[in-house]
Amino acid sequence: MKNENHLSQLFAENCNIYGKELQRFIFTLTRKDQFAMEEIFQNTMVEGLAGLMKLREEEKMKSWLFSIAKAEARRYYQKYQKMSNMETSGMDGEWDKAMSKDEFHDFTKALANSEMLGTLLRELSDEEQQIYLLYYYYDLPLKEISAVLQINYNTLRSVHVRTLKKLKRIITERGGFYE
Amino acid sequence: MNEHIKQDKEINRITKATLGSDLDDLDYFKDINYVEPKIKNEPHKKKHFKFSRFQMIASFMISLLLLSSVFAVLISNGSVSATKFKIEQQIVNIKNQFTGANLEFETKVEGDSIVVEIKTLDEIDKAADFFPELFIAKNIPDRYRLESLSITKNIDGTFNALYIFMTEAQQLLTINQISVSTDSSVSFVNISKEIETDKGTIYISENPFGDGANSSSYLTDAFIINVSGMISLEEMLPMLAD
Repeated sequence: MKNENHLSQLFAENCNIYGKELQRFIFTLTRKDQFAMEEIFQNTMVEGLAGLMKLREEEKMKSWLFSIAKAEARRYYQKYQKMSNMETSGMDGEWDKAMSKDEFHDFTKALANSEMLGTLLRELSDEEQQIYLLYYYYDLPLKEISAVLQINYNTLRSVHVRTLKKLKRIITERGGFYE
Repeated sequence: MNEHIKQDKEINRITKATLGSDLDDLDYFKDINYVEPKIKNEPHKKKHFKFSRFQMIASFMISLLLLSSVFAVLISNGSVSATKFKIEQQIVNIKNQFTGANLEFETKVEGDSIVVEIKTLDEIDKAADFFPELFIAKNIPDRYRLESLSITKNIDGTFNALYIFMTEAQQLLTINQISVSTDSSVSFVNISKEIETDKGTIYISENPFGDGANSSSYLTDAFIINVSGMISLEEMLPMLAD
């Protein structure tokens, strides 16, 4: 059959190249749940291999694998409803106004320093780091995170806002820290 | 754009640029244990082949019979051409499971299309069975040999056919037949000559790329037939003659 062996070979190569990246993505989705990560990762491999012939553009295999991982995570959480325990306390309301130019300048300057960014993320709770990484690093819109993790959308928005405010507060408190 | 959306995008950009592709330095991932993917990378296995040959044929015939019955119902319905096409694709898949590989003639399902490919003009009748209105290549200069003829049947019932011929010196000659509908709009450029025929018009473009190749487009009510290659006009016109 057309390209099947070629695609299987390419699939194996992609899994080797992007396996770690994919596992980190799932690890973030599962908020450090190693067991869930392994299960979703292996399910992603199985589904990927089974659906290989449906892949039309092989150069999109990486994003295709990530989409399967999202779908598998969603299935996992529908099954186990594990993530519904996200904290809802401390809701800070909407991020209704943007930062001032100076605040934003300091903020982005801090984020642009990899050591600082690592330090800042350490100050966040696991839940806040999870949302920050999924939203800002993996480009998952809040609605999609909400759908995959089976978390109330408004709760997620609150966590997002709280995370930004917390980062901003830390940066302000340590003014000049990032010069 | 709303200011906080702009800022959001900027945070997104900077975060990705700062973290790069390796997140292992982040505390968040310090406890991750990477696992090896359990991939069984085996060559294509044909499943259910523990049947005897008789059982295989019987099973195939039953499948076809069932699908044919479904066909009859669906065709009479008249509004399910997409479903009918999907069934055609299933038939192709089933046939492919039960027939051995034929290097000269191949039918396969590709996405939303069914593709028939032949490698020799000896199989042209089979191609014409699949696409009854196929333009039959004829009067091809002797120096060209057929590399392939691919016919694609699309989900909307239209067909495209592409002949590829090649010389020993790797010079190409292509004939591409494309379905057109009456409401299509077609434009031709660099036309040096037009020839009216009973069935349509041949638009000729002489040496359009300055490399000595010629091309022509034969526009009929149902198709455009494009011929392009290192051939003279004297060689090209007999190819399009009825």
